[in-house]
Amino acid sequence: MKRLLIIFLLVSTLFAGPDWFGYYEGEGDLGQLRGASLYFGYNKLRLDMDTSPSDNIRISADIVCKRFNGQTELNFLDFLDAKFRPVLPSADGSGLDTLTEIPYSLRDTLFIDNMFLEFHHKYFDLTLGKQQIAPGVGYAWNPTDIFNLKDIMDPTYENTGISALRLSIPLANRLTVTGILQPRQTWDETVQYYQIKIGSGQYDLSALYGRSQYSQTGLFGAKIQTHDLYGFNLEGELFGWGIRSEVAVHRLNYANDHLKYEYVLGTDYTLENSLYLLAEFYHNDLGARENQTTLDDYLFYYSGERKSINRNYLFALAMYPLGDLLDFSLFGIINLDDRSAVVAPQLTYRIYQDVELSLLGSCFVGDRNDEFGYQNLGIRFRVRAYF
Amino acid sequence: MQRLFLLFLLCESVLFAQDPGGPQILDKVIAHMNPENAQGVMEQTIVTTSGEKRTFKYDTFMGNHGENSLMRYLEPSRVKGNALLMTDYSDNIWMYNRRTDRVRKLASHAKKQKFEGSDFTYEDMGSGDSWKNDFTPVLKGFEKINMERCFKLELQSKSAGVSYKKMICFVRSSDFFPLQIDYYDENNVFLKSLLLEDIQTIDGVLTPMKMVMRNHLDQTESEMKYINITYNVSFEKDFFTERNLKK
Repeated sequence: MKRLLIIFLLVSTLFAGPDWFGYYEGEGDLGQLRGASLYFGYNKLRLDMDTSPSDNIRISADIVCKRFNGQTELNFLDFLDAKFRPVLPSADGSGLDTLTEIPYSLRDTLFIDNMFLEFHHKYFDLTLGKQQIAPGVGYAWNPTDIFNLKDIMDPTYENTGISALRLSIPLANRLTVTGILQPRQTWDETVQYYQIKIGSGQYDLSALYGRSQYSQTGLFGAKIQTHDLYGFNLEGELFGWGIRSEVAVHRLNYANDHLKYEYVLGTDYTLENSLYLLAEFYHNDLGARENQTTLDDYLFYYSGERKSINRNYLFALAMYPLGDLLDFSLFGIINLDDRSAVVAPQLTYRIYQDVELSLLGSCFVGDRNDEFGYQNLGIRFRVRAYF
Repeated sequence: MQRLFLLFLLCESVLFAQDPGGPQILDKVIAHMNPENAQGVMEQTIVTTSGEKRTFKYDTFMGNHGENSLMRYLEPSRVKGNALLMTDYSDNIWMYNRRTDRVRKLASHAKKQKFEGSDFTYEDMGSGDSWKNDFTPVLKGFEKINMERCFKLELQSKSAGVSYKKMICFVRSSDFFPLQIDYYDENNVFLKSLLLEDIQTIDGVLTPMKMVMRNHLDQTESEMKYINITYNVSFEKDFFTERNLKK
């Protein structure tokens, strides 16, 4: 089926005069940990192809090539305090040893990121293939998104495509029903996501239901549970302030009556002088309670299985245009459970029409065993040139 | 001589009495600026503080006398495919990012933000007839702009929530077409001027083929130019919707 789709896409593009575009991105990251420093970077090329063989059909695909440099062989435990190092029985059974290494590598990649076909009919829109799916209205967190893993230090960065079938049916003006299926080996494993979205005045509201499998891969194995998601999104404004909020109710194991709540409450505002302000409060019942954080919590979080390590967070962002080519922004994230924080100023300079430079600094505050406390400083330089 | 002077005064007062009042002029200005439907390709050039030029090109669609508008970027590559939908005279704004396939609804405060770093704000792009609700028009006399006699129409904001405290429109008396709009903030600071130039009749509609926004504070300038435009167009009921924004 996949091969047929690829052949169809390739043949269609040959006859449709495709549009080619994309970007080059180079990035360097420097981190100052407690007692160690770290450097890595990458060069990335994204090549997009987009074509419309007819008014109702669009075919799009992109290839991403990414090559890392610097320290690409890393030890996950270097980023955590020694207290998180697990103690295991020694290989010879004579006693206990402390695990000092969980290796991981930054591997060069070449892959098809998105490859999909959109079909627009009077009564529905159908998208087939690897595509961008971005549920939720929050900026830093999206509790109702069961497809993507978001980097909280770079929440607007594009996600990897999701292989899925998406059908949207407009029932009336600003009333749409959407169904998404992400096929897996069996129907039970297949991710299902259904949403009804309605717009009224200055508000967009949506209610959704999703079914997927919730896995937690710890040091000593994985636990997989069935997962029902009931959610609600709200976007609009109140007294002139923008509102972006999401509520997700998780039921792990079908028969389990003990529900877990995850939500984000957000607001934003633009002052007369163009200063943009945004704040979000995030709560996640699935996160670890204060002082109960374990190595597994970090593993769940960094593997993308959970959206936070602890339960309560605050995100704040201020953005200000320093002239017509330079933007300054400052964001901060506070873990309200362990009271650690990161503050990150950023400058973005559009040096040429299609070339953008950005420099992000990050300063971490907290005890060494807190989420944001183990690092001291970080610097990220990024250049992106579009073509 | 005295008779001549009296005659001059009489003529001037008769002429002035024949001129319409502020609300009538504003109605005609709004009618000119918001034709029923329009579709075209626009080019926006920003002249930066350093004198460099940045150019954006986009498809633009306007429906129901400015109530709805949709813009879809064609150039540059950085924003190609992104789109902007404004409905209810820019009270509702949605932005679409093609690379992430994400649609974000912006609250009305976002209208104050600069449009792609230009001297135009989102509000400047799609105010439609909201001026009638937000401002009180007062005719302040006459002035000459580009050697043409113009009504000097002052629009005074009715409430504090409006972005501009005052706007002065210089409206050509011969056909009620605005040639210049000056914008002032709440402290009466002269912010910027919009100059409407190269006025042509397209499909029977007076059209400023070029609009220049001059920012007097930052000393920058943004220009919008129609590459082509037609008014002989109609849109389907669901054209100005989030669904079409993503197409």
